[in-house]
Amino acid sequence: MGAAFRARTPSLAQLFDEDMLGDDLEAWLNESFLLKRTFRTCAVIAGLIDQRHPGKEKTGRQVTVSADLIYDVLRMHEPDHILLEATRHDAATGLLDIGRLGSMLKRIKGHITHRRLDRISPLAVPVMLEIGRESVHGEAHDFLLTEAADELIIEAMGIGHTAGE
Amino acid sequence: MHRLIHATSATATSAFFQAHTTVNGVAAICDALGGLFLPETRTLVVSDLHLEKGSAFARRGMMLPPYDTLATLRILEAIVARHDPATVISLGDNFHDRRGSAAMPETFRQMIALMARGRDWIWINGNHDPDGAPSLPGASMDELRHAGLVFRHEPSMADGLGEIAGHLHPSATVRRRERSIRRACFATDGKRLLMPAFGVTTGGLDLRHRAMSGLFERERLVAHMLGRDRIYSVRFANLLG
Repeated sequence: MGAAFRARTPSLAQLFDEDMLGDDLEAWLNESFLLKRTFRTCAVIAGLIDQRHPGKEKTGRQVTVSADLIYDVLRMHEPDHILLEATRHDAATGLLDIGRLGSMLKRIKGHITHRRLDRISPLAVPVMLEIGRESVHGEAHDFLLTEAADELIIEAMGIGHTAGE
Repeated sequence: MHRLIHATSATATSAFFQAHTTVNGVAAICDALGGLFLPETRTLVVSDLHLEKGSAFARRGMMLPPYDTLATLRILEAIVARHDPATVISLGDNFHDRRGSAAMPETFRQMIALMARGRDWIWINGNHDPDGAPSLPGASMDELRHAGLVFRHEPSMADGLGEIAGHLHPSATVRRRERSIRRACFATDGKRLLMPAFGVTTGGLDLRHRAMSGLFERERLVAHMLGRDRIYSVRFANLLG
């Protein structure tokens, strides 16, 4: 990313443009792990699912339906379900405070300085801790699966080729 | 959930929407909606529908959303419409518990009756629903020999030649570039085939799990993984990259 900033593609101004808070964001957020994680917290508080603690294994009869699944089902069938409402409410003031984000983007417009540090700045530590906890997968998973599946196709074509000779 | 979205919307299918395979010499098509179609006998196989799972949990005080039956049946409708089979075999755990088939609402019964019209419908009994589905169209049985294959719910520990079974909810994990992607899958070594769970609220068991050991010749084992709109066929040995 640092390299991309140096090359100015995309420029920092573009990357932090307020435009990014449009409909695309809304659509992405609905699918996002951030929202699903917020939902999971809500579902635990509501007693819908049990939180798994390290060392405490699930009993055989305990439900293994994931919070993600319930989230998807509710989103499809009951978009105004109270737990989804709570999720949106929590998300709006928690990790995804769009209002604050918007005003910050406006405030910092044209004032962003990019500086490469040789170590992690203290203010960046919370962000660094989040790395790997949230994944942004869209096409990426499909791409990796395609890559794996192509191996068999190539192999099959290879066998066909040898047989033909 | 992506299976439902696909089943209820798109009719366009990619070239990889189905994967062709053979089980004990019988041609079979793995459909990305989660069913197996045998073209020679026009037989459609699905497994582990786990209908009424939501309500089964609700009866025990666990309030899961009750929409799973409808979602599963919608996907079933789509795959039945696509292949127009002469015979449909549901490979057991058709209902999540013994009371499921009696407790299922009338609208869902009608959906099944409509689907079963003009076809042979076989309910294989599973461990969750050993008493069969007496109030539904079709026949209930523990095991069926048909089309040169054996259909049963739990895979036998015998050689499994020509066996189509469910029960284990097989899933496979592809590992590439530090990422793991897990999907439900058809698993076959050409002798035996394990069906993915068809129900929308079903979990999966990895092919590496010890419950799977001894079932397949691993050098020949291929996982036909269910993707968003296609099947990803990956050799067992290549799963972890």
